[in-house]
Parts: sequence; C-alpha cells; structure tokens
Amino acid sequence: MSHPGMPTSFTLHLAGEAGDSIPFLAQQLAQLMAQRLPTLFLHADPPAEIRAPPGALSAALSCQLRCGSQISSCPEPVHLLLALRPSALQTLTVELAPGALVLLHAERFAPPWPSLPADCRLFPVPITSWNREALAPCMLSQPECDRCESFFLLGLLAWMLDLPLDPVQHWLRTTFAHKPEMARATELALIAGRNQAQNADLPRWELPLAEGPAAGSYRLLSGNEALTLGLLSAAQLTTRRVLLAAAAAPATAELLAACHEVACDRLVPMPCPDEAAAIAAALGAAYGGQLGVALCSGPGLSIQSELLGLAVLTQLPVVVIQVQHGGPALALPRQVEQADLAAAVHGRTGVAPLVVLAQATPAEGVELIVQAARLAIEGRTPVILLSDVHLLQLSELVPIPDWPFSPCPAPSVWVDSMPPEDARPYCVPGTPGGEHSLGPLENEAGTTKVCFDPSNHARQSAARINRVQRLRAPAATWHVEGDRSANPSATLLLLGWGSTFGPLREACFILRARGHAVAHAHLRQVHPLSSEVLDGLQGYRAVLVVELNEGQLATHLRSLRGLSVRSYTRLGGAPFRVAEILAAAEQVLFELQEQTA
Amino acid sequence: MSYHLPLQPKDFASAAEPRWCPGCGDYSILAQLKKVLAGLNLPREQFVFLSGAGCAARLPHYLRTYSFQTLPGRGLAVAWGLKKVRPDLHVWVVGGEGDLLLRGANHLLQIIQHNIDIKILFINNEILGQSRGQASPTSRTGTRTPTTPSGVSHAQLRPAVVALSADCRFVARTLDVDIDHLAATLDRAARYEGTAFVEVYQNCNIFNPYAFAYVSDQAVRLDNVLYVEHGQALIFGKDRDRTIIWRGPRPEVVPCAEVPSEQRCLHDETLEDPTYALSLARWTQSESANSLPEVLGVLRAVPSVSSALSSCALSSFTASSSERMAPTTETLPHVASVLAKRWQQGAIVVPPLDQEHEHALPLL
Repeated sequence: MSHPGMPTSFTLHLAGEAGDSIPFLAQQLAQLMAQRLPTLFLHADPPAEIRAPPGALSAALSCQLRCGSQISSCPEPVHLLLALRPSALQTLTVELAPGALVLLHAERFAPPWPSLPADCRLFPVPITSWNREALAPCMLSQPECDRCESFFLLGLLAWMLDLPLDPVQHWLRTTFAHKPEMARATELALIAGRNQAQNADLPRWELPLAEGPAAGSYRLLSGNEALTLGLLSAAQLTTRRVLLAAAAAPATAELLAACHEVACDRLVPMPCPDEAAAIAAALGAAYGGQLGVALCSGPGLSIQSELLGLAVLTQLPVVVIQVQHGGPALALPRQVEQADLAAAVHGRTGVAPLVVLAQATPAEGVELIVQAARLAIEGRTPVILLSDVHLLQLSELVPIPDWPFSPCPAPSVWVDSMPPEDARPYCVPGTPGGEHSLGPLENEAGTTKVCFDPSNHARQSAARINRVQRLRAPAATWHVEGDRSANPSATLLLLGWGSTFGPLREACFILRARGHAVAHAHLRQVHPLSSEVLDGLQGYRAVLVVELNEGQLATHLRSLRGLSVRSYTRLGGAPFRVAEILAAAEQVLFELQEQTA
Repeated sequence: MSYHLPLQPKDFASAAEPRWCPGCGDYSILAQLKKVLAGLNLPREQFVFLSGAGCAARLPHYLRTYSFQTLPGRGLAVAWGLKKVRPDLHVWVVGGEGDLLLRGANHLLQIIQHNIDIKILFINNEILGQSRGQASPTSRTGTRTPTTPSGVSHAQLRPAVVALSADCRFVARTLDVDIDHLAATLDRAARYEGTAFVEVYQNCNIFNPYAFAYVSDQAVRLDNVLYVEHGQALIFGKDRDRTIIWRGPRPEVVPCAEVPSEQRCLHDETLEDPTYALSLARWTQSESANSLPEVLGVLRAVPSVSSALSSCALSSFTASSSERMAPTTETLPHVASVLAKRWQQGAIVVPPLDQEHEHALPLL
C-alpha cells in the first residue's frame, strides 16, 4: 500500500432485515463520512421478498458504504461488518477483507458464534440491553426504547470510525423539534452508543487518509435519482414536453415512482399496461412534436422491438431507457448482467440502425439522458440508453451543481438537424398546411409517399445506416480515463461499458501503482462506434474487454475492422470485484511479457 | 396553404386514391366521415387519424388530415401518447377487429378505462380481410374460413359489448350502408368529450358477403333492427308494432298493442349503470320466433365528467395554436423549480475546514 496513487478504502457493510433501519443507518453514516472523505459509495441490496417472515433468508437486506481515495467500485470486500440478524449473515454476498472486524448483535445470535477466517475478529455485542440500560432515565416503554436502537448503533459505529456526531445531533433536534422527548431519547441513545463503544473498548478503524471534500453542498445520488434528474434536465433544456411512458416492473418501480413525484409542466409520466404501449405512447408523443421516453427492463426491450423499427422508419425521436438484469426472461430480476447489448444494437427485424448509449456510473445518468434526448431530437432517431439494476441501486457522493438553479437556457437549443436529402418532410400535427400521411411502409426518399421499388429501398436503408453513423453524442468521443500523459506507453487497454466502470477504473489505478503500463477506456456510446474509437483501440498491444455477459462487446468489436481483442467475462448476477479484474489483467500482462521475452 | 372555414367534404380528401375492393363498405364510411369532419367546422390540421393494420387501417391515408398508420394494434397506444402531450388535437383511431380486438385489445381496454378523449372508429366485418379471409374474434360460430375449415368454434366477441363491459361512456353501433344513420352517429361521437366508441357493421363483399344482410336488406331489416334514440320508446318492426318489455331479468318482444304507451320502455343513453346498454348491445337477430332485434344507434352516452384529459372540447378550438398547447399543465409546477428542489433532496452540507459544524452542540 506504499505505492503512490494506490487506492485506499474503507468498506462498512450493514446487514439485517426490514425493520432494522439499515438504510436509515447507512444514510446517516454516509452523511458523517462525507464530512471526511470526498469519495463515497452506498450500495443497497433490498430483500428478495417484499414481506418475508422475520428470520427467513429472503428477508435479509444490506447496505454497503465504501469510502476512500481513488476508489470507484462498490460492493467490495468488507472491513467492518455489522450483522444484526443470522439471516443477513447467511445471505452475505461479499467476502471479508483480511483483518476484518465483525460486530454481531449478540442477543439475536445463538452461540456458537459463526466461524470466520483466521485473520478476522468477532465482537458479539448485546446492543438491545445496552440501549435499554442507557435509556432507562427517559422512562420510555420498552418498544419505544428499542426504536432508538439505530441511534445507539450510530453512536457506536461513529466512535469506532472516529466520526463527528454533531451533524446527527443537529438533524435530530431539527427533525424532532416538536417532540422534545424523542429528541432527548434519540440523542441519549446516540451518545450512549458512543460511550459504550469506548467503555467496552471496541476496536477503532482508521479511515483512509485523504484530502477532505471542499466546503459546499453534496448529495448521495443513486442511479434512480440521476435518471430522474436527467429527465427533468432534458425537459428543461428542450422546449418540448417529455413523456415518460412505462409499464409496471419491479426493476423500474422506484424510478417510475420518482418520475411521478417530479411530474411538472414539461415532464409527463404515464403508466402503461405493457412495454409495447409504453414505446407506442412515446412514439405518439414524438409524432406530436414532443419527446417520447419509454422505460423498460429485462425482456421488456424485446416487446418494444417492433415499434423501435417503426420509429427508425418514420424518423421519430424516442429514447428507451433499458434497465438490464440477469436474463433470459426474468431470470434474475434484481441482479445485474450486461447481456442486453446485442439486443439493443441488433435486436430488430430488417435493417433498423439506432444509437445505443450506456450509463457507466450512477451520477452519469443525468448527463447521459440529456445527451440521449438531444441526439434523438437532433438526429430524429430512436436512442437506447442501457442502464442496469446495479447502477440504479448504487449511490455516489456528488457536489450539487449550480446549473439547475441558473436561468433556463434559451429555448429551442436542440433543433432537428437532419440533412434534407435524408429526411422526410417533418411537420407536427396542428401545423396548418402540413397535413400528411405517415406509415410503416417504405417511403420514397425525402417524402412520405409509399414506394416498393427495390432500388429505392436499398437507397433508403443505406441512408438510415449513414444517418445513424453520423450521429455523435459527446459520449461518443474517444477518451482514456485518468491522465493519459502520465501513462503514454500503456501496452494493455482495459475496455469496458456500463456499470463495470467502477471496478475497471479502480483496478487500473492499482495496476499502475504496481508499475504496470495499463490504461482504461470506457464506452458511453456503444453503437455506432466512431472511427476515432476504433483507431484508439489499435494503439495498444492488447485490449482486454471486460463485461458481465458472454462477450457481446468483444464480439461486436471483432466484427468491426476485424479488431483483435481479448475478452474477460463472467455471468452470475453480481458486479465484478476489483480483485477479479486485477487477476485477469495481470494474466494478460504476463502473457505479453512472455511474448516479448 | 390557407383555406377558409367552413370546409367541404371534398376538402378532406387526400391525394391518395382509395384502394379497397369495389363494393367495400369502407368507401361509404370514408365518405360519411369526410362529411362529418367538414360539419365540425374545425381547422383541418387539428385532426389526427391513427390506425394499425388491415383494410380499415388504410382509411387515414385517404383523409387530408394528419394521419399515421402504425403497426397492428398499436394505433390506439400511439394515439394515447399523442393525446397525453397534445390535448389540443382531435384524435381518431380507425381499425378493424383484427387490429383493435386482437393485438390492440389491451390498449383498447386501457384507453376506455382512462376515458381518454379519443374517437374510436371500430369497423367490424366479422372477418380478417387483409389476411385473406381468416377468422376474426367477431366471426360467428360456425363460419368457415381458410383457418377454420370446419367452422369457427369459438363464441363471437361483440365489440360494443366489449367496450361497454369496460364501462365505455359513449358506445354506438351503426351500419355502413345506412349512410344517414352512419353520419349522424359519427357526428355524435366526434362531439363527445371522452372515449367515444363507434362500431360500424361493414360488409366485406369478398370474404364475408351478406354477413349483415339481415340488418341491411330493405326487405327484412325493419323487422330485425331496433333503432334507439334517447327518450324514444323501444319500438321496431316494419309496421312499428313491436316493443320490448322486461319480464323479471329477461327482455321479451311483445306486440305494442299489449303494452300501454305510458308503460313502454324509453331508451335512456345517459344511465351511469351500463347494464341496460350492455343488454341492448348483446341482442341479436336469430331464427327463433320472437327474436330480439339487433340494436343500432347510440347505446350509451353518459354526459362527460370533466376529466383532465378530455379538455379537447370543440368550443375550445378558437384560440390560436400556441395558446392551446398547455391546457392541462397550467397548474403544474415549472420544470426549473422542480429540478432545483429535487437536486437539494438529502443535501449534505460540508462546512469550511476552519469552521465547526454550524450547529455543533456540546454532547449530553
């Protein structure tokens, strides 16, 4: 860990069941950690069942907080685990880091205590009785006392991590201003937790040293929230109304609910009976001169396929947000997989090219939605934005920007920029003199007149391909992560797309700190790829494409210019860990070295 | 291209030449529709006609309005999205039973349930014409088609019954060759605020000829059809000598002479409860003596509750296009304020290094 530039991190994992206030505890701790470290991730893993019986494995839920410097991956191996229920421990999907501490809610576990790796230490603590004892002077009923337990835990963990408590105290006094007895009890529990940890001589964990965040306003931004803010931003930046149409599905429920909360003059959410209705409604909005956005997940994209073809043919601006999860069908509705790339790029009948963007980090959702909307309007094309269930549940600490508060940019900043030879006449219903007929049949070039002439179809198909090839989001530019000048001689390029960004970036930092010549590039516009990107890929001795599928991007790249790339893939529903990527990259580096020798 | 209101039916004809089989009932529907549109005295550009697939789905191409033929069954859902962001437009969906009751059934029920201000012109010929005469959901039991060589085995689905079962508040049924009735019915639908569902019996003279002869043939139709009108007694027959009475739950045909005029049942299209309209919609002519008649006319037209989406009142078509853009969003918050507020949700304030937290307090 002595290398300069080596990531340093601390990972706290809170595991329990519904009713243990785990998300609340995580949010409060995040607030405290944010005072100390500028890089912070929070990953929530909701329970498998909505109302599982207490104690059942399907009732387990957890949150992981990871902070440090040069880090970007979450979840990762755990340094401090707080296990409030046996079920939470049994369903734990992350491993313990060497030297990890495990804090057990002793009253809920029956000895013998669970066995741990040799270098990990276990601390069973009687949280409930400690908390009740501490609150005895408050004369509260036992259930009321127990409700304060999360504040006791907060105090205890804050002491172990040497975090300040005053932001929580301030929060308590504001929140319970009208309930002074609650304010007193919760604050007492908070302080008692801290004192008890000190008295019991619980071990302390030193958070990594890093320059603290600059003074200002920050927030934890999840993928769900980022996409919501992105839709609002797109609606603000264009003069059009944005229709968000979506069918009910568990993976998108939170996002759709958030969009309903922010419904306004420009953002119109619309619940739909199914994904076909959603994309059809989006198409209707686009036909009406507005912007249609359809939200779907998993197999929903397949249902939308036929209408995406119609959108390509009729040149209507629609954006599809596809939340990927393990498939086929509904195989793993809550677990991540990046296996919808091929479907997004190729999954339509006929020659129906469109643009595919991919979100790499939760916060990036804001910007990418705006880019997708702009591209759809300017290029009069459907755009698919690939996200995934992991990104939606992952939050990162970001500064609150100034721009949403500045005056709205001048309207009509995005105009239809189709060259006239490609474009059909485009007239929005309601425009006098523009009445015309549009349909699903091939048109004569530059008109909406039906034409079945084979040579016309060949020309029109080529025009559709060219039109999409020409479209470039800012996300399409070739960009190597980090400071390229610091590493001009990289031999190995780690290439990814979507939510593998975090572990890839962190692995790249570690490899560089270990002295390897490695670079990392991440594609945001996955299709079509610019020649700049394809040229960029050729500047390395080896390109390792890392993705959570069976090699869809690698196959796609090999089909373009016959690029020779290596592929590292995994399926299984869990995000990559940094260690996996390190091992794969070091194997390639070893092979390159062998070749040189 | 400027024009002056009022428009004539010919002003609604597009440059495309209608291409249906000679003798197809769709010609008549198109002609009456143009007449009705002209009579509404609205700007031509305010009309949008959507369709899916099939013979009926060609109709929008022959109108000089905005028209969009989509994919099988999807015209309804596209119309809904359009209406959601452009409530100023007068939106129609035209389709046959293959379009609206097969792939489109799901969308049809949803639009009715939400009472979206869309006019649905359901052209029922009891056969899938464009699919070369295959059986449709409205085909009668026993009908022989290429896909049902031994005859249709399923029960017949009746579009007006489907619409009423979903509680559609405006449901009418009419006939392609009864042009005055057709025009009057379409006109009522066009002026209704909310989902208006019009089923038109249409003769496919190629694949299902004479399917509706019992209601169109001059020789027999008056004996088989009951034309309903709001407030008028349920009387039918060539000599207008038969009426309907309910004995317990069962409707029966009885000679008028047996029922004093003040005891005759008067048609009420405004009933909130759709049971009566449903009963009427289900009746059909049969071989049995005292067969109930086929009912044509406006079965149900409940005065519209002012739904947020049915703001496309004809009277509102006076303001300029831009003023009409946002009738449903006036009361909604502005996007900029919502965006700014949302960003601030769960804000974490980090004070400058040299400053204690703003509200640092001594521990208890």
